[in-house]
Amino acid sequence: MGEVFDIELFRSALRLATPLALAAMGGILSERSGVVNIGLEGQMLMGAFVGWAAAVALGNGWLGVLCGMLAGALLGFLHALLTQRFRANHVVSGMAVNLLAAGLTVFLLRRFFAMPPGASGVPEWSLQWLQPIPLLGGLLSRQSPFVVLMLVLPFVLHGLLYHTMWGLRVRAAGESARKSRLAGIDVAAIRYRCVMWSGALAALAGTYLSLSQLNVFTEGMSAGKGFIALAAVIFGRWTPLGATAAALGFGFLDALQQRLQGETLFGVRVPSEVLLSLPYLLTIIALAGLVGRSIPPEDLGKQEEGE
Amino acid sequence: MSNDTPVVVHMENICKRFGAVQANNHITVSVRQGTIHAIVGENGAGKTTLMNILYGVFPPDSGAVYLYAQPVRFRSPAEALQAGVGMVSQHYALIPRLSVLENLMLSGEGASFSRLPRSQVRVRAQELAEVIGLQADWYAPAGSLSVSQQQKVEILKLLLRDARVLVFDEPTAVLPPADAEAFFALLHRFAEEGRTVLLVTHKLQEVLEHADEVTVLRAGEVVATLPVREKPAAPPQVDARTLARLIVGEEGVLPEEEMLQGKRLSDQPRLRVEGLTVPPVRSRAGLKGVSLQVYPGEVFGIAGVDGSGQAELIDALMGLVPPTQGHIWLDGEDVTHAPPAVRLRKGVRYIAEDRHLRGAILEWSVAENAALGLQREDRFGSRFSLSFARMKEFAQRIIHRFAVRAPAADAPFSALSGGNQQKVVVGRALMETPALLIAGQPTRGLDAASTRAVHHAIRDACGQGACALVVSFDLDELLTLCDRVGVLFDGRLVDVVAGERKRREEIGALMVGAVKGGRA
Amino acid sequence: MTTAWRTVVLPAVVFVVAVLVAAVVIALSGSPPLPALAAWWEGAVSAPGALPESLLNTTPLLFTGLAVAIGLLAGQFNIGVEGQLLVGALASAWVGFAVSGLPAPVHVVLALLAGALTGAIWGWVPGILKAWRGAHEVITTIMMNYIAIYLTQYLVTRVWKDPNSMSPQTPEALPSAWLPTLVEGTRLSVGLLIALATALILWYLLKRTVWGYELRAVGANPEAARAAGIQVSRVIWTSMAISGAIGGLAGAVEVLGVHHRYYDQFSPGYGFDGIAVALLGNNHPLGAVLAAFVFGAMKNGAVYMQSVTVPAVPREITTVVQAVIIFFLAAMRFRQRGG
Repeated sequence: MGEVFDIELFRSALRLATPLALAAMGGILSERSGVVNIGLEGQMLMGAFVGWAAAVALGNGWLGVLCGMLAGALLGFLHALLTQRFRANHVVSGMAVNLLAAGLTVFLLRRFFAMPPGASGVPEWSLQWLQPIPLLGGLLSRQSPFVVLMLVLPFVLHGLLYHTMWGLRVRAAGESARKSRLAGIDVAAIRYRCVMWSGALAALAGTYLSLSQLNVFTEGMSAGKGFIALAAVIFGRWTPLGATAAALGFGFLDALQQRLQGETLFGVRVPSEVLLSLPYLLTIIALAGLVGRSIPPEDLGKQEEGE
Repeated sequence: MSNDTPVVVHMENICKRFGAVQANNHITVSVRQGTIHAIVGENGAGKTTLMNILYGVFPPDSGAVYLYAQPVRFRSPAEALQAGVGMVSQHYALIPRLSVLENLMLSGEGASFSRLPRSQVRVRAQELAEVIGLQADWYAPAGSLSVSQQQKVEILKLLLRDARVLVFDEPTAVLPPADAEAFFALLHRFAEEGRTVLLVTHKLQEVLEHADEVTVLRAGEVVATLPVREKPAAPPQVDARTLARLIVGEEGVLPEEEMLQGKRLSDQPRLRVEGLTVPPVRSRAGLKGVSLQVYPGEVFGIAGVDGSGQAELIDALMGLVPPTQGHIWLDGEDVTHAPPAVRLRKGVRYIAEDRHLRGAILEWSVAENAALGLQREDRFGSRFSLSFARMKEFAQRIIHRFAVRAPAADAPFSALSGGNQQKVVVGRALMETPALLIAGQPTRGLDAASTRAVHHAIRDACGQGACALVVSFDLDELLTLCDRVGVLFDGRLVDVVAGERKRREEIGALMVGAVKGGRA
Repeated sequence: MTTAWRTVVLPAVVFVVAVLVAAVVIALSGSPPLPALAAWWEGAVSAPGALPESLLNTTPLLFTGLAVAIGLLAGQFNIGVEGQLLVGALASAWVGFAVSGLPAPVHVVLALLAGALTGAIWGWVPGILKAWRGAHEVITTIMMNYIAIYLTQYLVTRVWKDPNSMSPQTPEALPSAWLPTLVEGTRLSVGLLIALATALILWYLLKRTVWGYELRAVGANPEAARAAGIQVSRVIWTSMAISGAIGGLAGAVEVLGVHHRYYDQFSPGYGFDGIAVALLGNNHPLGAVLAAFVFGAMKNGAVYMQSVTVPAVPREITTVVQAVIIFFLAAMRFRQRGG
């Protein structure tokens, strides 16, 4: 049993959790302001592709990340435009974002990259000074900057959401657009910004996929991670710290599943599929309120007709 | 209060129209500093509209608002608050899931990424809270507070911005009597401090006990502006009946039609309600132990200011809301907790107060709407062979009988005008004699001729054995159509008037609590 | 706007606009647009053997489109058709290879029923959670998709794997469970007819039965439906179950009519395409028939287009067209539906 639960497992868990957590931060921003963003998956995929393609074209991983985030923000803008200006159904618009990203990324990949080259990726940080710290040192001493970001960002977002005027306004907009407007808050502007940032963060998660480990883009790279991120948001009760904790949990399950590959755990043969489905199962349970209620912002997803 | 006291708020010739309704028609009101000025009137008189204009919720179509003799034009309540004008509206503006403190900080102007001024606001709020007698956990969600506490938080919001003009719209609608007393004590204190208070209410007792001046609105116009007392704490100079008469208008001659009267066809009541209680929700009073009987052949009216419990009564009778106490019997059978389908089967028919919300499906055709509620009956075919043709035919009969102007029976419901839509909804309920008709504002949006037609149809149905419960804000309708009229006030059925007592003045007075009913 | 307008004319216009957008994308990517469009058309309908293949594509799309549509008509957004399709496919495959000794018609019907029933369960779960606990069906159905993916993956790689093959697939179904071919020499099976029949049955049910009337009422205005005596909760979970059943049937027909076995990842996302089909078809069963054919033909034509254009236009352009269509429709039509 000890062979399974070593430091490498947890390092792996961190890596696997990173895209989930980063995208989940995006999801929280959007949903807290009142806009359902199912399109996280598509934004992640687009970020992965554009980030990689830009890194190839520009020869620099960080520039690639930036371009990827811009692409995600653009998709976010599209979603915001549709839901706020045209009062489209949030879910339909989100699905369209996913479709657009899925189609466009493969289209462009096949059209322009017959043999997809490796890009200059984003290298790991050695962070040697962390080594002596027990536990933390082993976990973080040689990790991608994305992993570090994943651990830092939730605190930043938490501070922004709960301790600044901006955060208060965002939360108010998500609870009641009507009452927020009465209080003089520009709900539309807040929503546009939050959704665009949401797309950018999901795309950032995507660039981690394509620029951190393999430095290449493959079709369908996001592989449902955007939806697990959504699950993490729900499971974490729409809070940055909660969602990150959920993402870490899901990442751990993934790491465990990869390590075990059907071997026994505590004497029981646990098929990897069971571990892989756990995040989804748990989210359903959370939504069904079987273990306490997970309640979204009040105005989430509402389509209003006029003022 | 002398004529030297400066005028703080002056609203001049305010006009506001919503669609076909002129909500405010050249209204002019002046309020002096340090006074409690009441604005009274029936439903639809225009009180809330006027206050919303003052508070910047929407602009007037024409007319001007002056604050301290300076013209102002608020584009949002935030701007009004800036200028020192604050309102606690009927529908509370607190966001339930945010904490009390967060709600207080919400309309602040802090720069986006500035830290939330938590301690600052909390300290100041604590000071003010002691003054107004509020004890609350600042970090608790606003929704967890009692109604009185929430109201105090709303007041606190205004005091934090040092609002000098305070507007209250139906403030005691859901307050228990003790809290209401405390509330008025607070108002007097504000007045003493030199703040100006506007009080929108339909409860005349409050006006008589606490206001300095009163403006009566009726049908969007100012009917009268009267001083209530010379000095604070002096006895009132007007009496309740006078005010009630101003509010509902003169007894007068009813438009050319004779009263439609019927008689009971049986000694056994068809509908019996005992001790019906429905809990209050947000700004609604709920129902508090209402009992009544309706006999076959009779039309029983329900009068009352909006929010007095009518909606809850209708919902409970239809089976859409479970009462917490009490019983409902239909022809002797207990249907208190029966689902709507059971009641429909027993012949209960419903004319919804809000046809868009409950009464019809706008995207559908007239024909399919005509069948709504009746879809399981044999007349449209069997379970597995619903006939659109028969629905059309049924709709045609409704169209014919009620002179509905519709392009065709299968035209989209949304293509009809509001009045014609209402006729379809009414016709659907009356095409066959129902056992019990529950009607909420049945002639809303209808012209005189159509209104008459509907009234006759209801009467005819009752003549053939039906009985009806008609809820209406239109006193004329209640007077001409109903045999007896029950008055709801604050969730209670305070009296039932019939015969001689069934007069405008009497009902009006009961509606506004000017007189205590026989049952109260 | 009459139903005909909304179901046929408006979608047609949107479709044309989307194709134009695609043409622009093709042009921007460096391929001449007009020859590409011509090849697209050719591959979809005019080339020999194109039409049957397009119809083959149409079949699963029609099923999934109907599944999504019936959910939407009841006001429920069933994004879980993909998962319902997978479990239905596997269930029917199992009946196909594990149950022996049954004459052909019975075996096929049984396998189809197994697929429909399994799909129904997969749809019922989110439905009942929505009806009883208010759990949002969009999220629960997405979750059920992934559980389905992993469940079927596990079953087909460990439990029901074909011992004679290295690939993750079930043993082949017995011939008695195969759906007969419709057109000689093609892969087109009677599954298409079953799909068309399903569309017609649904059309009838929706238009001419009390059940359909009440379902549509709940979808259009749940408050009014309640006041009209309709049991809204019951409508919610039954519509989700039926939606799931049709999704399961989609999978079953693919297995029994085309592949004759279940293999891992056999679905290129039919369940998600169903959303586009339902929206383009205005949630109308007959509209879904048209929309399914349009998308099926479009996908088929794109494969041909990719092979003959120079430089090659990737066939994923169809997904872009789908996305553009949905964007337009969402902007124009889908108001007042709680997300």
